[in-house]
Amino acid sequence: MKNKINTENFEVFYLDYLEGNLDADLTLALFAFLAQNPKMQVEDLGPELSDTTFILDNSFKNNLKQNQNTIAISASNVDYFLTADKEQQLSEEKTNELNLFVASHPEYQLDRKIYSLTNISADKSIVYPNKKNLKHRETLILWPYISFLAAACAVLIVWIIPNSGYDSDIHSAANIRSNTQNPNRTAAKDSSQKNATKNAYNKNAAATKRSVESVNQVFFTSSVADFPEKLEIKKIQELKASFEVERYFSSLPERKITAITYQSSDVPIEISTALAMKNPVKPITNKLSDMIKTQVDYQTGENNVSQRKGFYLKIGQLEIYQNKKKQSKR
Amino acid sequence: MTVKEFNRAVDEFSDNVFRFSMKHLRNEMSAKDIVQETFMKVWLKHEEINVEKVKSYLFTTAYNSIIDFIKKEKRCYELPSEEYQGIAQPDAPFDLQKILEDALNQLPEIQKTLVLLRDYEGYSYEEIGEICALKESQVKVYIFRARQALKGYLKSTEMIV
Repeated sequence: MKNKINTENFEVFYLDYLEGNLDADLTLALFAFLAQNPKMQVEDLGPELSDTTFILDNSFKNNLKQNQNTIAISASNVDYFLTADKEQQLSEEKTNELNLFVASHPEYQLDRKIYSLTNISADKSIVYPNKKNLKHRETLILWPYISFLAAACAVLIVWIIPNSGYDSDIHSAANIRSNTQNPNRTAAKDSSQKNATKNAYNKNAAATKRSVESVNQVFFTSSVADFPEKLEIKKIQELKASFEVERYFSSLPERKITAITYQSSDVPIEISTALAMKNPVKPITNKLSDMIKTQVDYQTGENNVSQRKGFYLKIGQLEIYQNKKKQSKR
Repeated sequence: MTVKEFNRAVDEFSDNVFRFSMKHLRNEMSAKDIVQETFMKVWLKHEEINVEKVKSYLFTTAYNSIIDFIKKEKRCYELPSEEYQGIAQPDAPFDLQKILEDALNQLPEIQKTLVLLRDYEGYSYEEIGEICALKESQVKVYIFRARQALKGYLKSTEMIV
């Protein structure tokens, strides 16, 4: 029938379709032809020829559906129900029906028993032996603990250091610097070297009567030439650090004080610069001082001609100072 | 999923994945490779994986790895029987599990996978469908066919009375 429709006459069938004169077979043949020849599509056909014109209603579909509850169990389909029973897919009603059916047909009792045995159980003795290799280490984020530890250490230092003496503190401060630069050097060796270099320094300093700053300058510009003892540069630097700290504390009024200084370059510390710094958080330090009944001071220095930004922290008798001298441009 | 949860998943599911792989590959070394590969892939995405879905994710990954492995090695299920002797087998004259294993090895690969997921891990049809990228109805049909095949094999042995 559909062979009758071709590119020459399909419009006739189309018009018949529009007029309602085309029977079901010819309508299907027309649609099949148009589907095979999309170029022959007529614009007017668009919506009416779409597949939506052939949608079955839901009631019709539902009638086609198979529902196991409505299907009677028979010899032809008992295998399906036995499997469904093993898979626990049957309703209680259908299970009872299956029980009755098997009871009335003993030949299926064996099948039912075999189905019940088809469950594959895992062999628990088979285990993966290298579980440790599959695991990953947990990464512990330490910085909160480190900051807490640092704070605890600071508090501990504040409480422990006041029991130390003045002289020993001075030397401790110097030794800290000395040992930092020369960790392998022994304490005895340090002491003897300091005494030797101290005498050399005093001799030159008294002769020239220069200021501390100018002496520093001489040390770095004419270090070996001005010292016939041929001291090494490192030794001179150690001496200068030691005397600078001592000179500073000697100029202060009599009191027990401990200073821990840190310097990031080899240039001697200008502690007087620290005293010229400003406290940007004075209300806070004052408040802290009142709270812990210990003097708290914090000062920072801005960049200037000779110094980079530094800071000065004082908690009770603990003083921490950092300052960097600007490197001269060469 | 955190590192701790991942490590817990190793403890809880590595044996399951290993057994699952063993049943498919019947080779201990290959099964270990699958387990390592599976957990390595899961680790790479552990931050994106919900801990509640990790078991399903592991089996999905393992299943795909097994399929890839079989394709790559061009293996079939008819491996030499001696290769499977790594796991001790009971010497009982009638061992239902041994017969079932033989029957299982007769099944098509997909049916075998579904039965193992169903029986070993107790997954629902829907979950198995997610793991194997199948529709629930397909899973049901495959499992039903597998059960009938297993039943037929057991019945043919004439040892079950």
